Amino acid sequence: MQILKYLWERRTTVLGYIVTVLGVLATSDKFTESTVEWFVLIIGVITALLGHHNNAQIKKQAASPSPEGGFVRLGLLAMLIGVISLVLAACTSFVVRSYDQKVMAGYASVALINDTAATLKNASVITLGDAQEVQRKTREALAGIDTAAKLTPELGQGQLADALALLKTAQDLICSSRPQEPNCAYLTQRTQL
Amino acid sequence: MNAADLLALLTQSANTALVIGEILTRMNSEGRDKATPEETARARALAVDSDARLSQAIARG
Repeated sequence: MQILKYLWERRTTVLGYIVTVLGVLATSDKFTESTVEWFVLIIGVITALLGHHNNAQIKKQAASPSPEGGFVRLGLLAMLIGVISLVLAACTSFVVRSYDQKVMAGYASVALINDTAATLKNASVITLGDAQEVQRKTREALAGIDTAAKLTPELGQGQLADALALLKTAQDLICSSRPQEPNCAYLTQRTQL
Repeated sequence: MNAADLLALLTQSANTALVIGEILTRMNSEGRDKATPEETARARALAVDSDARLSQAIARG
């Protein structure tokens, strides 16, 4: 609560730093074009909302402005932090070094591929058959990763490589024909299979 | 694709990234190559949960 209070009292400054960090991230070469487009869209929407809110607050509180001019309400700030957290999380790359970390990244790739397939199926972008085939592949890959996780790096390396190769085929099944589709662009960048 | 689907994917994917990112960052900062059983179980749970969500999407036909 102390931290929240501290941030709230300096909300304008905090917002400035956050936008600066997002701007640097968006202009680096680490992210795909579609990711940067999401950056711009989300930041634009937030800025517009804050602008409208700010104007309304200034009119309402002209007689007794808050120390920073009533810039944002707590709910709006919470929404802003939530959205920024999502964007930052979506844009962070996994730094994988050890065998166990590759296992972790394998589990994460299974999750990302399954969730992308579910979303594309719900949106009727992929067929029922494709979704079922993706699930078959990711289940087989999950079993392979489970086995590899119990082995030493020397013994499990091959098993893990096979599982990751299978995940790549699952990813290709739904995304190779639509690499520019935003979900596929995001998936391809995150899994790095 | 509707906004709810998109938000659901973004939220879920971000959650996956946050959990894995937290585990990997902790391992790196502590200089560990080995994951604890709890960390492995937590990462595996992400995959299992996502399988359930895909099953729901498939069940809709």
